[in-house]
Amino acid sequence: MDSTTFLVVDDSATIRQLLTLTLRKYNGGGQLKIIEATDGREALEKVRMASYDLVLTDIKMPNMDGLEFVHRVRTELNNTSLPIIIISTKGEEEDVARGMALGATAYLTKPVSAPRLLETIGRILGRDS
Amino acid sequence: MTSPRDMLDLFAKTEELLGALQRGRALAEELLHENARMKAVIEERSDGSLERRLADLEAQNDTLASLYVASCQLHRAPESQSVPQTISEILAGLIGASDYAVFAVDEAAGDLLLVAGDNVDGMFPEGRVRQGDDGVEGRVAMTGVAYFGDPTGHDRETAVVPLRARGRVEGVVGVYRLLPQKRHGFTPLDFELLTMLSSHGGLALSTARLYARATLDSAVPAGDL
Repeated sequence: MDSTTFLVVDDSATIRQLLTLTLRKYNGGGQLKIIEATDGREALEKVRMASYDLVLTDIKMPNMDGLEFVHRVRTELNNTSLPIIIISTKGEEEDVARGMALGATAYLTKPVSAPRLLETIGRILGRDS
Repeated sequence: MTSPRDMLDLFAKTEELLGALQRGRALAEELLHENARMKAVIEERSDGSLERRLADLEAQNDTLASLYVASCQLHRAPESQSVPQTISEILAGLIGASDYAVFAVDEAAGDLLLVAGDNVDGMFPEGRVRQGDDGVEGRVAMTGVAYFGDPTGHDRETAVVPLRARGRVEGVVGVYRLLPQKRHGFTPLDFELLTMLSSHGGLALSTARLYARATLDSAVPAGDL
């Protein structure tokens, strides 16, 4: 079974723990590596230093928000293939449009259900969740 | 030429064969009947009931996961600042609250002190509410009974719950508006989370208060005691 590495970016420890629990269901729960970052700046460094299969990021975070993180991954790191899913409380149409325009692969709103998140990840990674 | 004895043997074998055929036919009918029964069972179970049951179990699993994570985070650190912060994360991230407030009982003043919240500065400009006054928060603090808005009324997105510990109200949590994506109102999971907050949030606040007192006491030099 292929190993999958996720990066979970959120300043809320509660959300990081819940997302990690949900991600453990992915791929039958086997061969997963989940790395956490608490803001966009830390996440950008992690993406610069290592390879990830998919990133989940919040928007509202200290130091560097999720939108700037997505933008810098796409422009500064010139990484256009890394799938990035934004998971945010901001759910208005213009929020979604802005996130997608900056280079997000998908945009989900909090609170996000486990089936919806796993279905989105499975679709993006081209595997059955 | 066939002898009479051979003929008798042949008749006996024919009868035996016919008997075997009849038994085989009965068995085949029994198998066909069993097949039809199994088919009916499979058809009954493939009408979506299994899928629905699986979805129910998944939903229950997710509810338990949310409650587990929320509870773990509430009791993660005894520092008083982290408890309102964690309650805020649960309200915004797990329930989907847009406008919310977390109050702690100010024992000295007898008020409810606003310790965390979002989009409620206009509602509570003084940053505190008197216990037992006309407001919902004061009443909930005084009585210890939660208030939920009328599901069909204008305040259907309102929920004010006491944070209780050891029979006392330690604080109050108020949700006044949900995020646009939650405008269909509270879900059963939200009520479970609010109920959990009422007990575990209260206990976490109480523990944080005791920890702060203990830390303060231990910081006083022995000569000052």
